[in-house]
Amino acid sequence: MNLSNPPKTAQAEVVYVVDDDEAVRDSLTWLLESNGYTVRCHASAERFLQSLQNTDKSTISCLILDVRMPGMSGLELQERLISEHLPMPISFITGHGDVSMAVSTMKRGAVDFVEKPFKENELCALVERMLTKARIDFAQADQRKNTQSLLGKLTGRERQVLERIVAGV
Amino acid sequence: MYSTQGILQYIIPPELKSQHRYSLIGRDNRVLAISSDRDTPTRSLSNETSLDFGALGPNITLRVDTYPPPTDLTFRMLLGVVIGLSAFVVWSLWSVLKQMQVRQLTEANLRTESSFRRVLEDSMPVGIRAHDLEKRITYVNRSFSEMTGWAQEELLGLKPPFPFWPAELHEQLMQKMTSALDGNLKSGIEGTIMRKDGSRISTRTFIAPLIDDKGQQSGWVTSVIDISEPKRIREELSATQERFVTVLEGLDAAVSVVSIETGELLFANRYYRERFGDTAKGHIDLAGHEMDPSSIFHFEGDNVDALAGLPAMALNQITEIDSEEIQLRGDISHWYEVRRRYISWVDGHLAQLLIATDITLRKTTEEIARQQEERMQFTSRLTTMGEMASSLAHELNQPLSAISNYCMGIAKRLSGTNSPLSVELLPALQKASDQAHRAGTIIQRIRGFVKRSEPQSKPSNIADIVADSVGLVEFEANRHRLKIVSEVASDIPLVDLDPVLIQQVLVNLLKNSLDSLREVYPLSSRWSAPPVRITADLETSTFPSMLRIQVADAGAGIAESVISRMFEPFFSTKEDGMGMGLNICRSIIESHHGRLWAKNHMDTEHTRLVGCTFTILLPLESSHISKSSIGNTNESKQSPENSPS
Repeated sequence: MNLSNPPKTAQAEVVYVVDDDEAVRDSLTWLLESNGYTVRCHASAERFLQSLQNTDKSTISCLILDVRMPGMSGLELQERLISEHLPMPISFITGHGDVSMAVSTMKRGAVDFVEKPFKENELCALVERMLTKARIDFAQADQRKNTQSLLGKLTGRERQVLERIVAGV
Repeated sequence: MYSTQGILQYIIPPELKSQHRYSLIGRDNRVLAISSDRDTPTRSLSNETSLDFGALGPNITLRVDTYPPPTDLTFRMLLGVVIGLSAFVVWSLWSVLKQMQVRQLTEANLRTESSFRRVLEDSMPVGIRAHDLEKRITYVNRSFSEMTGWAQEELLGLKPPFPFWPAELHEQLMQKMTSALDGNLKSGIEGTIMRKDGSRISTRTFIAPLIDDKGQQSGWVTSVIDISEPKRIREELSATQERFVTVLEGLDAAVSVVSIETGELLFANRYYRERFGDTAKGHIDLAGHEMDPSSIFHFEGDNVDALAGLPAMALNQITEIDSEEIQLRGDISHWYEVRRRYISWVDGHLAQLLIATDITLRKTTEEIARQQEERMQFTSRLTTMGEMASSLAHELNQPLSAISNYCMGIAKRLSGTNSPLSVELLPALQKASDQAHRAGTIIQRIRGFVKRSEPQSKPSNIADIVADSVGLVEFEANRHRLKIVSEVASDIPLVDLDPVLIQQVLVNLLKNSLDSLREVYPLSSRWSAPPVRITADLETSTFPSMLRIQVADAGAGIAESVISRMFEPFFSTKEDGMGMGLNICRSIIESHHGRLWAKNHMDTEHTRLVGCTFTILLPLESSHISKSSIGNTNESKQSPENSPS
């Protein structure tokens, strides 16, 4: 396939789609794949959580999530991901969003809240923003891990000196 | 030789000759000799003997004729006397016999009479005693001794004070008796008798002088009547009367009776007098046109008098009116419930009884309830409309976005190839996608126009909301003879929510439960239907704790095919249902960040549905929809449009 805008990274990048409406799910996959993204879609929040357990945690990923679903709702899934320390950028799509709902999702760190139907460029920009955020997060996490391991190599005395340096002595 | 004459002359003694005539008769009936010339009566006794003994020639016959005895006057008289006396003796005997018969009859009559009188006297409940002139008791009848409990023998010969007089009344009774004996008391003495066993009975005593056949007074007769029973009845009657009057007077309803004939107020209780005074005007106002019986009965030549003779029962059958709610002219601030019927008054004339209850308060309450119901329905309709638009938008947006996505996806893929076909197709695909998007925008706009109201959250007491909801539905429940039981835990804090919307959810669920019960219990067995239960408590198994409201019924339950779809918009099991009820409920609960679901109950054998429970979980604190966050609204709404293209 000759895709015009393929993401150029060595790391595997996945866009998750969770929506109970099959047509929406399928068409979204079709649209995103047309734009060169790898898409995994799930019909419910529960199935999505299940599948997450079997995937590599280092994968750079983002989530496009329907608000209203039978069983666990989009909002509940968001909370679950936060509480389980799976910080993945989330955008909500909804057929009938209301203001209060949008506000609460955004306050809990959602990247965006989009009402259906949406335009292609809108969607692609959104996905790109989320993936960028995921990459940065991943890099930061990676860096923090490195720093932590480097710090761990210092002796107790060296660490004290470092703290003094940071404190500006 | 003897001559035949000489034979008769000398041989026969003269005594014989004086009594009989002897004659000798020869042959050829020739009289040879005869002792006397005296003739004998022709029918005297005579005998003939033939003297055929040789010496005397043959054929001589002696004939003896008897002279009749001599008759004289003395003898005749004697005979007469003897006969007369005999006749007298016979008559006397007969007469005695007759006398005896009469006497026996009389005695029998007397016996009958006296035993009759005794029975009469004994069966009489009146106690009778007789006194002689020294007031000594000379006679008591059985009733009297039964009444006092003293035997007849014990009482005879006693003088006052009598043992059956209560000790403390001796003097009083003595006085009364004295004055009664003088003939001053005609109406009788009311007194008390102490029976031998100590119990007392009330009596009334009448005293009359006893006059013998010579017109001399020989004593007195007193008759005693036991009046304790009548007295008790009289007391009871008056107590009943008093109670009756107390009740009537204390009644919070105006009771009045007006004569049909004269229009006169025959009876009115306190309430009536306070409201309408002592005239029949109030009654007539309340009764309205019904007061005139001729307007109800169309008898031939009817008039009031003809009606007055009718038994009241007959009239009631025609005129019994359950009740009527009346607002008086000139006093529209009060409502009365008026019941009326025709009765036969104590004097036998037809009268109208009217009972009027002031129902102003009830009317007002009903009016308020009605207005509240109206408001509720109005809110409900508005919410429904908003919700319908919202649901429509959602339902249409899904396919529209799918169409749009597919189009855009195809366009994207075609744009990579440079075939002439794709150049032709691309603009059309782009247009299709644009149109789908446009349709979506139109729907959004319509939805924005009838956008359902956002929850107006405020700290609310869930007990009040439950009570209000039950109050709204109770009206309907009562109409179908069903009950609602509510139970609210006391440890529930104030919860941030929109009371109007939550109330609407509860009303909706309660109504569903009632409908379900009505389906299972037909009117005939409605009384056995268990009540709909609405409970509110804290769900502590979640973290943080949530408010849980449950509406449970023992109705038909929800069919498996329905339970998965019942929250969908436009899905209804009712013929005239719009299918928005539960959909709205869930929307409202979701807008409060809560959850709503239903669960069927099975019976113990798991074969049959025996009702279902709807459960609502609501967060106790909903910081998400606090006022301060509203400021972010625009920002979030704008963001899709502001996003980089």
